[in-house]
Amino acid sequence: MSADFSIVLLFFGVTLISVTAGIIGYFNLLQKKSLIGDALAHAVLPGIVLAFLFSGVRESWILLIGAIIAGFLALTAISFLLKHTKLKQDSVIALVMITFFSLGLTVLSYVQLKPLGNQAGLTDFLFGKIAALSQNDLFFFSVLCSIILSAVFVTFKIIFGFAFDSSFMRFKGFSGNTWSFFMNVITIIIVSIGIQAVGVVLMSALLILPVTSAKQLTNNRNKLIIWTVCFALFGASFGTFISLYSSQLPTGPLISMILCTTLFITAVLKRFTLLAKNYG
Amino acid sequence: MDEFLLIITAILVAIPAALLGVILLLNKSVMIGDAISHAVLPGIVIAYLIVGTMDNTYVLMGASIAGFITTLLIDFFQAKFAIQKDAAIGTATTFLFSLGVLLLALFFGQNTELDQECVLFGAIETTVIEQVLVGETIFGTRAIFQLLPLTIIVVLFVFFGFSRLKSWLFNASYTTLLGISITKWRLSVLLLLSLHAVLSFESVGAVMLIGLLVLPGATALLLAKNLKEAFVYAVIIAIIACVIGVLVGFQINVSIAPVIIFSNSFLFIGVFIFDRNRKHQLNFTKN
Repeated sequence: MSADFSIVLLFFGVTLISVTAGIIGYFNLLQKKSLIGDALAHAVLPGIVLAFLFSGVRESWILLIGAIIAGFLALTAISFLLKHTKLKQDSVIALVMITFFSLGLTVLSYVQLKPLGNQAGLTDFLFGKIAALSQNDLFFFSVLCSIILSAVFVTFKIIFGFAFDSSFMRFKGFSGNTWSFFMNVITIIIVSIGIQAVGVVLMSALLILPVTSAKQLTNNRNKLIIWTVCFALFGASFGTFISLYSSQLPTGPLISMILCTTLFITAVLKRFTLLAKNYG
Repeated sequence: MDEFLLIITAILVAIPAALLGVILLLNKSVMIGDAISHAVLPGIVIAYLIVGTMDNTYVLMGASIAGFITTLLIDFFQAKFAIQKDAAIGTATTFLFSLGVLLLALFFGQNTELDQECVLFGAIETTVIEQVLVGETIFGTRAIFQLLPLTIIVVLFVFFGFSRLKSWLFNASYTTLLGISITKWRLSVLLLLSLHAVLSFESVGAVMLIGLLVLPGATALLLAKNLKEAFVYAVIIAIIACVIGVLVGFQINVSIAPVIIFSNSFLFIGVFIFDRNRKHQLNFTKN
């Protein structure tokens, strides 16, 4: 009975994380900031490892606080360097990302030498291991994801407006700083949650791929969201299912592989329908 | 002695990375470098599955081809699937990298030459084991003799192609007008990059390579007044960071590759804070 419940909770939690990440990825794609998600996923690693080092326990909310602080520092560093140097945006993003990530890996290899490091399973953050999530973690993440989803739902028109045309929204009287701060908070939280499920290296798959596949099928705003949710649901549940039954496969790469396959299928479908339209 | 060999290995990884990194930085294609360094993983795994050993020319060639395919894949995604550039890079990276990790998990257990830790950190510490001896004296390691030709090729490439590179990086359309094929130069840079990604895979791993590419170059661009200085400074900074990284890593007994990257970042932060000429930084590129 309890095993069934934990598996249901696992499915529920992971799909909820994936759907939320898909929707955030939709806004990131509109702003052409898809690689920011990737950068953040790398950059929160030192926050997680340091939070573990100082608290000594693997409580998901403590790690989450560390991750959020690190994510904020990274975003601040990116905007600061963009303002004060003449380096290009992609260089600055890569630079900040790898600085944080190397700090995280240095501390991680230091933590692993200590006796408590091995039980913590912090390396699971790198490739993701769903089996390592406890029921409390999943419950906590589901609640957070629901809060984020409802926040996005309530403010949908405003953040869509900012993603679509930010100068128009500022002209209408909305504060650009406040709303970009809001979006940053949401992105950081979902990235910090997501890397516990799929790992640092492939978090960007959850953000980028569902919406990219959806974009193959439609350009209508509402349909796009619906398709994004569908693809995110499919990828997460199918990936979790396979990774539960063959425990040697890491979950992150599985989900990302499934999402890539759906992207290829949708793209090929689109090409065929276009061909049929043009010549048929 | 071990420290000395490690420093030489690290420097031989870092010099070509710094030179190619300057080109990538000025060409706004840093993230393509990141994609290539991730994408050599499936190439290495597949070639290893076919051939059976790591130190083999075929492994090298197969993996370099995989890195090279990435760039074609990114272009393909953009042209045929109508995916915007950042998402296309992200898609190609995640696709190839997850393919690599899955193959790794499927066909290899925990304790092989290729393990997941190695993908992230690299294992520069283990390169000192395979030493090349002439008589009784240590002459170098296998890694050093693998990396040395590439370093020489990249240095010669930048040295002899300098004027062409300069005009390409400054203004691509003008260079085309002069009758110089940009595609040829771009593809040769990417080919060198994927060769480098394969050869340095053992030392720094797939994920960390972007640090060696971007950090020395970015520091050099803060300091330099022209392109020649940018290349020279990038190499000097990379060498300093390698020496610091290896010595500090040995001292506090952690993985060396992340420490090398972090000392690069440290140098960047130092230069950023103490650089008085920050207002006068040149913008090298027109495009």
